[in-house]
Amino acid sequence: MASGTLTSTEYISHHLRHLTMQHFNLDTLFISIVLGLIFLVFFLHVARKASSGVPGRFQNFVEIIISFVDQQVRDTFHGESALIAPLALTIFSWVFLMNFMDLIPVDLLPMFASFLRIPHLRVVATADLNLTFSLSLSVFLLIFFYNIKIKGFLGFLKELTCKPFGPYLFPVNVIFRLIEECSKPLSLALRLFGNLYAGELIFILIALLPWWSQWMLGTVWALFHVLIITLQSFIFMMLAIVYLSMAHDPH
Amino acid sequence: MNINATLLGQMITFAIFTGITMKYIWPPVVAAMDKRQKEIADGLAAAKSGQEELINAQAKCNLILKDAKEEATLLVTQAKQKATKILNNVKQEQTRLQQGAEKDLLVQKERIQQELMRDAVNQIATLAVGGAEKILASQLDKAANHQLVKRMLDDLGTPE
Repeated sequence: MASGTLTSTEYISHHLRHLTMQHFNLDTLFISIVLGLIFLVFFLHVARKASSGVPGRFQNFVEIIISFVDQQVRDTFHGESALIAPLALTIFSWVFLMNFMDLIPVDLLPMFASFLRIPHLRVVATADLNLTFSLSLSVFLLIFFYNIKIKGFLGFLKELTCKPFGPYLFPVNVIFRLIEECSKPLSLALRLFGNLYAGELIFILIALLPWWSQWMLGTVWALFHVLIITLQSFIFMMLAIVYLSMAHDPH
Repeated sequence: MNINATLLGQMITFAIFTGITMKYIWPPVVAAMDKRQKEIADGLAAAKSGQEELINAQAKCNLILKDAKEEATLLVTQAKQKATKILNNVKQEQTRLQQGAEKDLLVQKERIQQELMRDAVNQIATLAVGGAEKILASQLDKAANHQLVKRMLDDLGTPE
């Protein structure tokens, strides 16, 4: 696709431009919502018909994922919460589906979009900082919420000011805690974004190679990326559970 | 890749998705899984208790069978003893009856012999008297005497 009127730079920058309108990245919103709906509709369909009898193929699939997530939550999180396990399931499935868009050939969906006179389209929603930060900030808010809910406002304040160095060094304590808490959403969001952005970029670079040589690097990178996208969605889910369980435990 | 309002839109979307998952997806599937787990556990427990019951029933059955055998043996032994006893009784009775009958027979025989003897003596006496009378009546006639003796002998030969 590097041929024709586009230079390599133009090709890459074209691929890295979002479809924006006002202050919204329409492509990220659209694709993430569609993928989220695919997840929800499929799981809802199975959940509605879920029976304790012999499970069908779909129910089996859903049960494998749910029991996998449930096991992770049970191993890590020792409190009682109706939210954390479904939250982890949503993160895992949704992030996985959005990451999966990276395995669709880089030019395929933008080409279809250009038929519809849509100039730009970035299909990997998790390679958009807005999305990764929206997830990590939501987790951050939940961490804050659970800190106060479990420890009480005063308890949280006490923990904030008195640990780890005792009440006399409270400014240091507050700064330490601030750094620690802020690093959580930052690292969550940037890790996912960085991995997927880099992956996307490398697919774009591979697409710049001559057509007869693309399959070599393309195959290797795609196979490797199957691992990356699964791993990254798992890591995001796992860290969210860990952070939330830390919010439940005394510091 | 600037941060813009997409962030807020995604946060709202994420909240809605999580809410739906929490309310409509997680509970029914987990409930079904838990129920199946419980059913399997119950089934296994039932199978185990059934097996134990079977073993118990077999032991009970063996015990009953053993009792029945012992009882049967006892009954047979008792019956044999009773039969032997009855047989002995019958034998004794038979012996007793036989002995009684033999004794009766002997007594009767003796009685008949005595009667016959008496009759014979009587007849001989009568005959002797009759013979003597006839001899006395025809002493002179030798031929007559001879005939008389002959008649007497005939009489003896054919008693009345």
